[in-house]
This record gives sequence, structure tokens and C-alpha cells, in this order.
Amino acid sequence: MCFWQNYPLYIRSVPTQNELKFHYTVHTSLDVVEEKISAVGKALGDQRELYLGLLYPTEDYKVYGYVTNSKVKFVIVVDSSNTSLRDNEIRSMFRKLHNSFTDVMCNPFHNPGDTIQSKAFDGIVSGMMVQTA
Amino acid sequence: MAGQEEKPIIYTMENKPIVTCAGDQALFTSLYTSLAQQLPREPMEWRRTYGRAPKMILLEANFVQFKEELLPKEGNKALLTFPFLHIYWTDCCDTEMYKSSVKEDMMRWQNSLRTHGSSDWVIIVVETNDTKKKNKTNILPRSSIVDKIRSDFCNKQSDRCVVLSDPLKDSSRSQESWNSLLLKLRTLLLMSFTKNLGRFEDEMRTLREKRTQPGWSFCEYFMVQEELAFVFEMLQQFEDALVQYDELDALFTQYVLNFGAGDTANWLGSFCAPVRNWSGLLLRRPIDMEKRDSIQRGEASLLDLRSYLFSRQCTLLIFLQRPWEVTQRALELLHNCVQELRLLEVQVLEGALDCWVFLSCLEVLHRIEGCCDPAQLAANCSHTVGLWAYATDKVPQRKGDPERAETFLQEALKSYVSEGWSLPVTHTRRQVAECQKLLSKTEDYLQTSALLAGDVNLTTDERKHFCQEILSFTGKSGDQSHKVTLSMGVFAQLTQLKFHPAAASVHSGAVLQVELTLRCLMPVSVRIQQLVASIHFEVDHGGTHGRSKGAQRQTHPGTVVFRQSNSSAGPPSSAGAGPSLELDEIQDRSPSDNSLNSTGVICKNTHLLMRRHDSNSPPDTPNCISPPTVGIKEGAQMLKVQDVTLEPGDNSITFTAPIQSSKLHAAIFSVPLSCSELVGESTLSIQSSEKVTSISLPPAPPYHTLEFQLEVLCIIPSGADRPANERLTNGEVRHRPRSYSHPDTPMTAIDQRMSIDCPWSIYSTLLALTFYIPFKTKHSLLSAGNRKYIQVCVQNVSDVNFTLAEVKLTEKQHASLELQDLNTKTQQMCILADSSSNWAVCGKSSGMVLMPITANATHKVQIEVMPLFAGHLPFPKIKVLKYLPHTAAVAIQPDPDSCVENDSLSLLDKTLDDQGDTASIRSRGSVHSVGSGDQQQKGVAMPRLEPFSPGQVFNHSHACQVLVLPATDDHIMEVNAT
Repeated sequence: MCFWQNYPLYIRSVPTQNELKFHYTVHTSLDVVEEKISAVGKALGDQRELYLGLLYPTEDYKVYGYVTNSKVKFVIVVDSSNTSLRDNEIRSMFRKLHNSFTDVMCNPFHNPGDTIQSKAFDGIVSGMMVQTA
Repeated sequence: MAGQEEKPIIYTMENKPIVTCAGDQALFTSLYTSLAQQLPREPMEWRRTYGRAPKMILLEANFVQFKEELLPKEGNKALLTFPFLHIYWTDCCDTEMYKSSVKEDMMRWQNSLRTHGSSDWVIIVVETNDTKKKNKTNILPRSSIVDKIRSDFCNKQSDRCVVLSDPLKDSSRSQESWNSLLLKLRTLLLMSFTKNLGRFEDEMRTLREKRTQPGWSFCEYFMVQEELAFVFEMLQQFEDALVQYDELDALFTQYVLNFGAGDTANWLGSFCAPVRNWSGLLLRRPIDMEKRDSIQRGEASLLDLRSYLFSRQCTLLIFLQRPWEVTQRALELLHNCVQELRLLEVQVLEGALDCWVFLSCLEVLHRIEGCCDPAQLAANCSHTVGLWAYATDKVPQRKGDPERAETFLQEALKSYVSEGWSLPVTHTRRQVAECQKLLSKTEDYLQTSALLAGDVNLTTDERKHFCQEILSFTGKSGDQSHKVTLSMGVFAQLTQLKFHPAAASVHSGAVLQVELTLRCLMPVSVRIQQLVASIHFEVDHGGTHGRSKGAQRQTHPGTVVFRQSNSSAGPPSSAGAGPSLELDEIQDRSPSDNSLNSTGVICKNTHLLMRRHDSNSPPDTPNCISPPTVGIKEGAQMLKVQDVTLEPGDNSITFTAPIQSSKLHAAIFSVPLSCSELVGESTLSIQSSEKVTSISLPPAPPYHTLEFQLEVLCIIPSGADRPANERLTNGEVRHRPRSYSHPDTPMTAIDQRMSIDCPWSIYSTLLALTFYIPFKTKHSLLSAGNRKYIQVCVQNVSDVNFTLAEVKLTEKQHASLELQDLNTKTQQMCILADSSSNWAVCGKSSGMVLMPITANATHKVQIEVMPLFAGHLPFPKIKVLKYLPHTAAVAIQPDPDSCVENDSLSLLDKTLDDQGDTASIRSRGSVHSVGSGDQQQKGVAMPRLEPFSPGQVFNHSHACQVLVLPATDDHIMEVNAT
């Protein structure tokens, strides 16, 4: 499960042995995110839905995207075989991430653009990963 | 007319709902053509059950001869062969005939219908005004036959008997009866559809409800629901047909998921059979009967079922003109199939699934290409790209073209580096290294190896391997010609620099020690033959103590700590490469009442901060410190240490600087970090022609920065209005650089081109230098009597302020000329207080001021005034006038010589300060001198007052008012003239 701006702010994946593949997957997905927001952004302006839905399926993973109004991108990659996660679950996961991210940004000691080292954020992510695993 | 066959009718698009015809076949045959033509002419609204939206539908029918075998047997679920309507045709008009044969035939027909539970029938009585039949005597009125039939058969449904009058005549009566017949047929057909399909759907639903019971078969159910889909497709209701397949799809998917969750359905058994056939999707035929049969027999594998299901969905989607949905669904299907096979733990031969996916991708693409024109395809490539990508994914991609691969990898690497993806950076770099090794790009390979050897993302063994690659190269390359220079930054980083003594200032003869801390990034200890630090003493900064250049923090005296980004690439903010945030306040006010709607801070350079950078920096320098900006001075010092071994991690190396010159008391150190060694100083060869100056750079090893400083001196050409005679005497025109006036600026510009050639590139770097001449000069020789005046005007046309200092005119040849400067250094001014009706001037009403002609010069004059009234009074008016002493040349002087003649006249009456008679002073152009009462306008030069031209004087207190209280007697007013 990962989460980014275009520069990675925070990456975390649970089966660490295949991290590289995740990184590539997420990096590719950013292009899809860009494409989606550029297509939608013009038409709807600020009424854009933050949740972008399934970005693209691969044989092994499903990649979901979410973009905040300040264009911070969140990407969640789940195993395709994980059928317990539906759209609604993913949506609420993103909302949680966004809230937590906002908290991180509110930290006066955090420099926007730095990688996230917040324990609270870590905790939220870990919680979600345990829940989905 | 399709007869009944043993096998079910192979479904094609030509299928139409079956309508049987009984009775007079010859009669029907004569009417068939017009009936078949007219039936689909008008659409009918089909009201649907289960709350489905009504639809307009065009009805067609396949009229077949009635046979009892056509009627569905009990339990037969075939819908396609189901006769939806039965028609009995007769043109009987003879009561006898009716009674003897027709009625009996109708009875038989009715009975057989009744036994099969079919109630969708209609009797058509055709009326013709045939003369031959009219002749007969026992003719009854037509209506009576119809009435008879109605009473005999349609006991409550009198509408089941329809009369068709003169069907083959072109009359309005005939048309009318046709219309009513067609309407009746359509209505009855739709009624039949609604009823029969409704019944079918109910049965189907019941069957589906039983799916948890043992013995239920998905394949059986599949066939049933597909029958419904076929009928919908036959009725051109593709949307409804697609829904049936989608339902089947969802049902199957759910079963597989449940199976994965531990719920075993025994019928899934056949789908769990090992995959033996991976021929891919087959979309060319509307119905793949082979697969359909295998499903019907319950022998289909999972891939068979999925393929068949998808081929049907694909056909319908193409009918619906939604080809792009096909591509999207195809991708989902392929992913899904792979997942399902995995979930069901189906045995698949190695590579079989990949083959299936690959073939299927191509088949879908082929099918889509077949039904779209190329322009459409190109416009919708975003829909097909996923399939292409998936297909190529499945093909082993080793093309063995490392050269092209390297280019692509380098591109990718660039973007990963600039965005800070450390893992992909490492991985890509390793691939790059492989390519470079294959291409025997030794130097590049070693450079990449060096980076990889210091990469913490790799295992120690891998890093050692790359380190060894470099070391083994150094071991075998004995000859100097094969020399490779690698950047030091990737091997080791300078972290600290320390001076002993701390002040870095030593007396001659003493020893200055420099301690460098190098962080070695190599995984193993590396023996270094020589380590050199070059030091640049910058004497001209004498007095300042050991300050070093660059962005370093000084924590302890004499210690410089170099901040460095981590070796793993971080986000650009920490790497220092990104631009800084530029924030701006925004306020959004409503246009109507100017109230604040919102306020906030926006980032002005978001485009710089948020975009992906295509970094122009070489890909291997994510952590390279910018090349040191050190001009290499003469007498650069080299500190050398021989045979050092750098251990991984921090190493401390001490240099002892020999102090040779006693003059040096301060040193500024800067270590060129990007170079492992100093190349040395080479001279540039510069050739200057009239228009182009070309500079040739000396060869430099790679990864070295070449810096040079070029002092350019532009000789301002002499003025454009050079006297013509000079050219004549010289006989030739001297070349002058092409000068022109720039349209934007009044300055004259001179272009000079420079070309820089370097040995490593065939291209020259062209630089254009433009020199602007900030001044315009003009000189003229003026004569006045026997005197000559030389006027030199220097006009500043640039927007920079210049101060003209020490103006001097000199002569070139030593002629005994006496040059006298006539430039006035000061300007005399007269300040007058205007006594108006409001103010009375006490004492001095004017003042003389000698103003130096410089900027910001001030002078103070005091004039006493007294208000005459109380209340708000305007400030007393002040006038500032030029005071022209008698010596000044007067413009209105008609005869210049007279001025000269009067030169010797002494009329030094400058004591205007003392004059009380303001009225006379104010008289323009003439001055009353105290001594003489004469008014001299002409001839004799008199000191004069001249007003400044408009805009030259600004009165600060203009329009100001003073509140005068009655008690106050007088005011002292200060006037500042500037």
C-alpha cells in the first residue's frame, strides 16, 4: 500500500520481498492519475471527486487512486485475489489516509515535500494493512 | 420455411419469431409477401413486466406452415423454436363448405393448440369480391360466416377472428382492413411475447433459486438463460440480451468467489479440470457452437465457459456499437480468468495461460479492428493500449538490443532520479550497467558500477561485485592510454574540513594542517595511491580569516562541515535541487459589496514544484555537489598524500600545507569535489577576427568541469558624426563593428559573436555578446565674435545613473590654446514670497540662493510673513526664479558681439538680497539695480530673473492651508528649496 506526491512521500508495502514491483506499479499508476485528473479537472472544476476509483487492473494487483485538491496523490495497491475489499472499503481507506495526511501537514515541524516520518501516520497505515491482510 | 429438425436451430441473425399458419395454404401464400413486408413497418410499444421500461419494437415474423410437431412439448425450454402465434387462414364464404370441411379443420387445429396449452391464435377470414364466387346461390352475407366462426371458436374473444377485405386490391377499404389486421397481429404477438417470456423468466428464476440444491447444474441453467438472451437478440433487444449474459457472468463469478471462500459447489468440478486447451478467445463467429455444445454437455473447462460467455457479450456489444467496452471488458476478463484459475487451483501447464492471454488479446484487437475504421481506432487507442500492453507483457521481450535498451533505460533512470524513487533507480541502473557491459562502454560501465557499489539498496555482495569490477579494471589497465577518470563524488564524499590551527592563519615557516574527513561509499576498503587536494590561496581577500566558499556551516572555528544529501535519492527539497516555494496571499472579494469571500495562500510556482522534472543533469549525479565555483589561480597548491587506504565509512586524512610565502596570512580553501584530480591549467587559444571571436578549449577528461574567465573589452567606437574630412585624409575607412540602434532602447548596440570550440564536440557553442553604448555624445564648435566655444553634450540614454565627474577638455597637439571652462557649477536662484491679500511679508521678501548643481542639494531661506486674517489661509505663494547674472549669455540678445563687448563692464550688483522692492524684481526680464534707476532692456547686460520652464519647480506646500488663530501675531515660515 503506497501513497505519494509525484515524488514519493511515503511508501509502504506489506510483503516486502516484492517491493520493487510495487514501486514500478505505483510509478506507472501516477501517469494514469495524471490522465484522469487532467480529463476530469477541466470539465468539473473544483467539484472533482477525490476518489478516482480503480486506476488499472493488472493480473496480480488492483491499483486504486485518490487525489487531494492540492494534487497530492494517494495510491493503494491491493492483491487481485483479495476479494473482501470493495470500492467502499477502498474509499474509506483513502479518506482515512487523507485525514491522517492532513494531520501530518498540520504539524509545524513538518516540511511540505519531505518524506513523512510521522508515527501517527505510520500507525494508521499499519492498521489498515493489518485489517486488509 | 424452416421445418422442425432434430437439432436445435443454429441461431443466426436471420431468426425471427415463429408464427404458424394453418388453413388455406394457397390463400396464405398469395398474401405472404405483403404480410411479411408490412408487419415490421410500424413500431409497437412493448410494455414489459417486472417494472422494465416499455420499448418500441419493430416486429418481424417467420411464417411457417402449421404442423403439430412444431408445438412445444411439455418441459421443452426452447424459446427460439417456440411458435408465438398461430394463424388460421380461410376465405370461405360458403356456409355449406364451412360446415362440411372448414369448421372441422378449425376444430382439429384448435384442439391440438389446446392440448399444448397454446392460446395465442387468430383466425383470419379473407373477403374477396370474386365474381365467380358471387354467382353461387347459397352465398350468405360475409358477416354471417364470421359470426359463425366467432360463435363457434371465440366464445369470449371475438377479436380473435379478423376480417381482411380485398387484400390484393389497392383501395382504401383494403388498406384499412390491412392496417387493422397488422395492428391485431402485432398486438397479439406482443401479448404472446409478454406472456410466454414472462412465464419463461418465472421458470428460469425458480430454477435459479434451486442453485444451492444438490444436483443443480450451472451449465443447464446457462442454457436456459441463454435461450432468453437469444430471444431478446432475435427481437433486436440487444441490451436485454446482454443483461442475460452479464447475469450469468456475475453468477459464475460469485460461485468461484464462494468456492475460494471455502463454499464448495459440486458442479464446479468440471471447471476445475486441468487446462488442456488454451486456444484463446474466438470472436469471429457470432456463436461458437463447439464451445456451446461442450457447455451443454457439461464438459466445458473454465476457459471454455469464459471464452464462450465473452464471445457472446462481445457480439452483443458490437451490435450495440460499443466496441470500446469490449476492450475494457476483455482486459478485465483476462485478469479475472487468471485470478479464477489461481483461486480454483486449476492445473495449468507452464506458459499455457500466458499463451491464452496473448492469443485472446490479439483476437479481441483483431475483432475490434475489424469493426472500426482506422481513424476511429487511432482516436481510441487509449482503449486498446491496455490490451496491447498486456499482450506484449506475455511475450518474452529479450530482443538483444542493448544499445536501444540503454537509451530507454537512461531515460527512465533520469525520471526516477529526479523524482526520487530509490528502488527503481537502483534496479534500472543495474540494467543500464548490464547494457553498458554488453556494449563494452567501459568508461560508462565503470561509472555506473561505481554508483552501484555505493548503493545501499543493493546487498553487500552485489556492491562488492561492482566495486571489484572497478578494481579489476584498474588492475589490468597498465597502459596510460586507456585511462578512465571517474567522478570522486560516487566513491567518497567530503564531509568535513578542519584546519590546525583553527584560525587557518599561520606565520611563515609554521605548518598549517588540513584534516579532511572523507566518507567512503565503497563496501570494501580501497587502497588509494594518491589523494590530492588542491588549495587555492586567494590573497586578495586578505584580512578575512579562513572563510570558505560554498554553502557550508561553520560550527567550530576552523571546521567546515559539508552538508550532503543521502546517497539514496531523496525528494528534491532535501536534495536542494528543487525550487523554493513562492507563496502569495490571495483575497477573494465579492464584486458587489467588496466583502471578503475567502482568503488564503497560494503557491505561485506550483508548476515548478509539483511537476515531474526531466532533469537535465547527468543521471548519475543525484548527489553530486554542484561544481565548485573556484577560479583556478596562479600558484595553486596541491596537497598530496600517497598510499592511503579508505575504509568504508568516515576516514580522516591530514594534509600538511607547506607555507612558502610570508605574505600569505589568510587562505580560502575550496576543494573541487567533483574532480578526483585537478586537470591543471591549460591556456585557451583565442582568435579574434572582426566579427567573431573564437575560443578553443583544451581537452579535458570526462566528468571534469572546465571553467574559464574571459575578460571582454569593448572599445566604444567614436561618434557616428565623425567629420568627413578625416576619412578623406586617411584614404580608407576603418572597420567598425556593426552597430545599430535597438528598437527598444535608445542605446546603440554593438554585436560581437563568440564561438567556443571544444575537442569533444563537433559543434561550436555560439555566444552573442551585445554591447550597449550608454551615452550619446555630440560636440559642436560655436563662434561668437572672436571667441570660439566648444560644446560637448553627453546624453545618458541608458537607465543607469551616471555621474559625470572631472570634466576636462584637453588638446591633442600642443597648440597654445587657452581652454576655459564655462560650465557653471552652481545655479543662482531667487526666491520670492508673494505678498498676497492674505499675508504680509515682514522684512525680506526674497532671497538669493546659490545652488550647487548636484542631486539632493538643499538650501534654506527664511522669509517672515504675517497673516492678515484669521482662519484657514492658503500658504503664502513662493516663486522660484532663475537668477541670471549679467555675465550669462542672454538668449534674447540680438547681437552676440554686444555681449562680448560688454564683457568688461562690471555690473556686479548681486546684492538683490537687500532689495526690498519686490515689485520691480517681479517685472519679467528686467531688473532694477539699486544703483541705477534706468530700465535697460537691451544693449547692457543686466542681471535678470527668468522663470523656470514648466515642471521644473515643484511646490510642496502648494494648496496647503494654515489655520490662523486670531491670537497669533505672526508666523515664521521656512521655505526649503531643493
